[in-house]
Amino acid sequence: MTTVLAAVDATAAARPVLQTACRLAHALDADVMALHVGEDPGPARAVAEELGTSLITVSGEPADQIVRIGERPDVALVVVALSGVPARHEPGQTAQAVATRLSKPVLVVPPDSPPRRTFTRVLFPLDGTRGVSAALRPLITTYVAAGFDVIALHVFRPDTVPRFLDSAEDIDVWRAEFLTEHCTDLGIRLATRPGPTADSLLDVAASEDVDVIAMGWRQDFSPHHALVVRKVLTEADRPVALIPLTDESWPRRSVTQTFRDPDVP
Amino acid sequence: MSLWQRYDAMLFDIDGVIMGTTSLHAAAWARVFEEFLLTCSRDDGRSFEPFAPDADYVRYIGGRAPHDAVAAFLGSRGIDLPRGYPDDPPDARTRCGLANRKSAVFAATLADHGVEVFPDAVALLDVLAYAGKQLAVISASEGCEALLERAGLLDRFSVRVTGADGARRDPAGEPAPDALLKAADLLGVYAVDAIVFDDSVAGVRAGRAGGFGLVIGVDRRDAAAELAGNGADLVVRDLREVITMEGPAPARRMPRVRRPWETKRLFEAILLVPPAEGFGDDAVLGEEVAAVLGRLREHHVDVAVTEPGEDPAPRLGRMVGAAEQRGVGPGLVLVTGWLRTLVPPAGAERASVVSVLPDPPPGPFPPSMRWTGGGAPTCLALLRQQAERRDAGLVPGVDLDPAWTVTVHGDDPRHRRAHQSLLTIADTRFGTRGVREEEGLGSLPRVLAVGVFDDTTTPSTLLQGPTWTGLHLLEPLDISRDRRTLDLRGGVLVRELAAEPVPLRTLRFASLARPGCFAMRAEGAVDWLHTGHSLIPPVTDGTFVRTQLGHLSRAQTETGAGGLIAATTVQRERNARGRRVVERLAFYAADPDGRPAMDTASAGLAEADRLGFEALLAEHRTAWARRWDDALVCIDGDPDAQLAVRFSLFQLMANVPTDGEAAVGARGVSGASYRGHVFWDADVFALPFFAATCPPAARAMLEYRLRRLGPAYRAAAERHLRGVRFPWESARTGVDVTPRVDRPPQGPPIPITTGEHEEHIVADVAWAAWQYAAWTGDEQFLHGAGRPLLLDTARYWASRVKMDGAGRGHIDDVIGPDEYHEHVDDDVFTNVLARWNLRRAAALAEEIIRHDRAVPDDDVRPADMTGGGGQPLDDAPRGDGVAPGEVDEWRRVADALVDNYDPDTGRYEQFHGYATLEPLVIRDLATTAPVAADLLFGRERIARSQIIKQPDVLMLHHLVPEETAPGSLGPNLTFYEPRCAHASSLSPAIHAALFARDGRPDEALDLFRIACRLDLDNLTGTTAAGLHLATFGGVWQALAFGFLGVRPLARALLVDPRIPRTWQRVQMRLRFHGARLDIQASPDAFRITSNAPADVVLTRRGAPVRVVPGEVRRWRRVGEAGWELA
Repeated sequence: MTTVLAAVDATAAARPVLQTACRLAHALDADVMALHVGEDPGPARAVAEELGTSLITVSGEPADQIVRIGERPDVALVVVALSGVPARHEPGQTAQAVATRLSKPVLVVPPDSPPRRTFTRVLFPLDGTRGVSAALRPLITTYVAAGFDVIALHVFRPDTVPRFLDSAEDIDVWRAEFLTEHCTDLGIRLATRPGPTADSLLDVAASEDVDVIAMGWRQDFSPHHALVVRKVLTEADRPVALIPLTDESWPRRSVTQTFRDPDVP
Repeated sequence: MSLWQRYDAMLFDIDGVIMGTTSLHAAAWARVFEEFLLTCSRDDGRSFEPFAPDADYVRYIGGRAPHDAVAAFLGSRGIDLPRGYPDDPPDARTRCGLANRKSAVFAATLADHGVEVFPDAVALLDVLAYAGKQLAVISASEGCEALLERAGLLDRFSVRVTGADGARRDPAGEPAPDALLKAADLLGVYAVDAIVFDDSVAGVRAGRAGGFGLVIGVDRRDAAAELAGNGADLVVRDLREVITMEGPAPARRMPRVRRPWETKRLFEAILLVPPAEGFGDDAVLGEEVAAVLGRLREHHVDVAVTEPGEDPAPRLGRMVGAAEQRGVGPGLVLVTGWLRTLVPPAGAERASVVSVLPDPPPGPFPPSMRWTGGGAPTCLALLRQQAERRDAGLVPGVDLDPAWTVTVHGDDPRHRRAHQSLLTIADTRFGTRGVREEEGLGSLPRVLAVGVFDDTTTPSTLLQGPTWTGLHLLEPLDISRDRRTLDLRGGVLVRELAAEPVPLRTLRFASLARPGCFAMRAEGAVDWLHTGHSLIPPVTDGTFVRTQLGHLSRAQTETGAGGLIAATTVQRERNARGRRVVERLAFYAADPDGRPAMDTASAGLAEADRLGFEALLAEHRTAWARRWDDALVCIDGDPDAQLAVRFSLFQLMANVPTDGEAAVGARGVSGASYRGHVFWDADVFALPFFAATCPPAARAMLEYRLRRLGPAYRAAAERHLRGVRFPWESARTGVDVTPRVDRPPQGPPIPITTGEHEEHIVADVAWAAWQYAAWTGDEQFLHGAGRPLLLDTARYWASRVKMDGAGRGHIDDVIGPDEYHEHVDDDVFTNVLARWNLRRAAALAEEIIRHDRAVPDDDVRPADMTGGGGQPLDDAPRGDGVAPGEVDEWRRVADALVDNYDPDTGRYEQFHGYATLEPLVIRDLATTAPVAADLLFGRERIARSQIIKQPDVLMLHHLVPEETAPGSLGPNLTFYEPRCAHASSLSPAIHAALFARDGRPDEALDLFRIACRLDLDNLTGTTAAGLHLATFGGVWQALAFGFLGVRPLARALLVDPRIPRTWQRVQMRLRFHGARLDIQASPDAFRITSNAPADVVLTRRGAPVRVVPGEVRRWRRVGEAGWELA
């Protein structure tokens, strides 16, 4: 049995985090384990008891401990709060540290958005490189197997946009060929959008009301990196799963054009 | 049994496998590149990373033809050189020039240093030669023979091939195994029966791609993993390992008696050269030879015997010429017998020549000649082999001529469906996509029929027919070794796949001589090749009925509304020579309106079966040869472009009927995209090629429009307009079937307004009708049956144009060819083509009146008023007569129509208000054309800018240059090209033609190449759903209208070539007013011959020059733009 590990703290974010973990675990037929790092588990314990999950408490630096336990083989996914402060809609230190260091997907839950009632629909942005598609494939397969409505989204860039489009009908053919190349036989939908990447992603997430946005990333939050991820985390009003990509799965693109994604300053 | 003993032939790369020439080559390259980079650096001040003999050699040089190696290496340093010509001097700044320089340096180095021969290679060669294996050596560079001779190894090899011969990429971009296949061809063995030895990555990849039986990587540089990873079956460090290496159990491979020279090729023409003294001494032998030749003739093999003392060379030339008239390349011509020497005449170099003289003939051998010795028994055995294989019904082959074949190597799931489109075979009425015989049902259709629709869907789509090509393979074969070749010359698709114990081979064709008839042969192992049902249902819903009567099958698809496709097959199987051989003939018949067609199919099949497979193949190839005779295109100096053009024309000819009516869908019958709907693609892009090479096909395309005049009258009347309004998308009935909305998988539906607003289609059809008449001189057509296509279209425009207070005419709320801007007023293309339409109609009407050529009623076939089977339309106006005053009205409206031309700038404003849009050019978008700009930046964003999808103003300069302001091509090209995204597949070829006319050959060639490779390289990403027929038509127009500057005028053909310097010669065949012209043009001269008197002019108002049969007219260039008669 796989486990969804929910990192709960003493803030108001504990409830949405654990709720999200429980509902996602239910959808994926997994166990839930709530983890509190720190001395006073009081508020966290109350939430755990209310939601009927066991709570384990460890002491130490929160991110270190979440990563240490998150790396246990049975843990498939770690759920953390975006930040502990409801008003602050940007990744907190713990969320950043866990997402950057854990070798598994991290589901980041906004502290103040309404919790999703059920988990049935997930959005996977695909950048058109085979490495990313290959890296996300196992996870997509899991969601498809769990009966999710999986939507793949490709936001066109100069190096991936079709060179020709005689009419709107051609894009259907193009999408079918894209799916053949990237997600053969998984039977998922593909949406395509013009850039900018983050805007289109948020737009599709909202219009389709997806329950999770699942993005591959290189686990690099240093300045001028992960700009799309940063913007999605900051602006999305729904959970965002960050899926680590190894260097092999995501070779740096050699885009010779000086195309500027408006997301990139 | 050792592994190698199971193979008939071994092909060796010389550099690095037999001899340690690699380091010498690398040193020579280093020297040449060093000098060149220094020169570049001096010239433009850049600094370059020097050539690294180890890393750069492996990466860019090894296994490539020299000029490709130059391109690859310099490309890595950001330098692009023109290809140049093989005979460029060593100091030329071209790829070939540098390659030649390297050859010279290499030769000098060789003389200084000598060459190391690897002892392990000598040991292996000794063993193989002793065992009588066929050996070939391949070298990527010249000087191979000298090296072998110095090493005393020359006599080991019966075939030597230089990689530079015809090296090219295959459609998947893999290193093409041309040199290897050529060597196998010359040895007379199949690739699957040969071993390839190579030390380079490119070499093992090529071996793999060529479908060779075994690819052995020779690891001389610690690159074992790399070689294995790129397709080497085995990697050895020392070739002596191969001598004792045991292979997998020799499984069911049949024991074979080795013959003196055995070829598996089935020759289509055989010239026998008897001994000088004739067979007179040996009457028995003479009779046996006569008997076997007789058997071959029964199999439709062209057989001839030289007279005593006759020089076989001229006879060979005639035989090759006759073979080509039958759609057979010289590679399938065999000369054998008592040959002393033979220098094949031009064009016949690729024939196989086998001498059986008991003693080796004196003097040097031509490269394609083999001496086997053995005299009469050998000769007879060779002929008997041919006859026995024919008797056994084995799969014949095609000539693997790189100038006429498109080959797909291996299997790439990403391109599988695009390759199915590329390998479509069609007979002008029915098409079968290039799906592998054993492939299960995919999502795409396999058999489609021109103009046969399923009307149960909205909008209607092409009806899918039963599939006739299915076979069962009970063992999974390794399709990464597949090799599928489309022979464009004879219209044949062959497949060869290495397998145990025998390879799988198939051949299929769609009979051009007998539309509806398909034929296939397949051979494979008895254990795994099975037939199953010979007709299987398509992927769509609808009724599929199948009956089986012994070896006869019948099946039919229909959906209850629209058309019906009936198919019937006869199939025969037998076991021969250790193989199962399957022969299947299919006959299709269809009815667009769903009337029964099975009887037609059955009668067709009975006749086809009576003729037999070989006769069907022969008549089919002959039919293709005739089509090519009228439509031949040669481009000397650019084999890639030549092949791409031939591929384009091949598929055009295959997809368009030549009689009745031709509903030419945007993808023909090669795929279901655009549902088979007929767009302006047919009238404007495809039709001119047919008007100029096969008028009946162009006439059939017009007939399609003529039979749908009823709905077109109705469409105009519904809008309270006169005349005809043709639909933007047309299918069975002629009612507009343009989808009204696009429903993407995500997001809101997007309305499609082209059906309501892309009105230029009305004038496009008029242009097509006039184009047909202009090429053919068929005045009777415009005066008679075709009259409504000009007059009623003009009536439409006369009622459609709105006059303003100042007396100017406008056409409001349209979409021009540039679909990025919808609902525009006074689109120049629409306005000016409408003006042209009105003026042409006025001229025609006056002509009719002036000549008082009132056509008797029974000559004018009344327009079909029934709307394709619907209700009769009683009140529709007839298109025949001309009312009093109409001509004046048309002229007045035409003159009043605004065309947004600004004489100061020489430019047309594309539509009213275009100049006020955001003045973006493609470069501002930080991308390069072609690009689907609307996908990248959104439709609204692009619509607010001056970015256009495809030529709109410039389309006028292409279609009706006489209707545009003199001298306006240059300014408009300069203005609109940077704004053109070329996002329509129709676009690049048109700009190529215009750049050629404007004297800008480099830009013309760049765009021409894009158009040429559009489907071959799947540049659109949509080739999977069908071939872009309009682009193919555009490719022809770029050559004819653009580079050759050909235009049909009223009384003469305008010719004004602008041939790029990188092309040596362009040859095109055209039909003009019934005469067949052959035009050959080089940058500085051109010549024309004709089979009937024809007039040629060099400018629109120039004096005509008559070309008469039997005479060659020549012109040469004087100055920049003029020609003088030579």
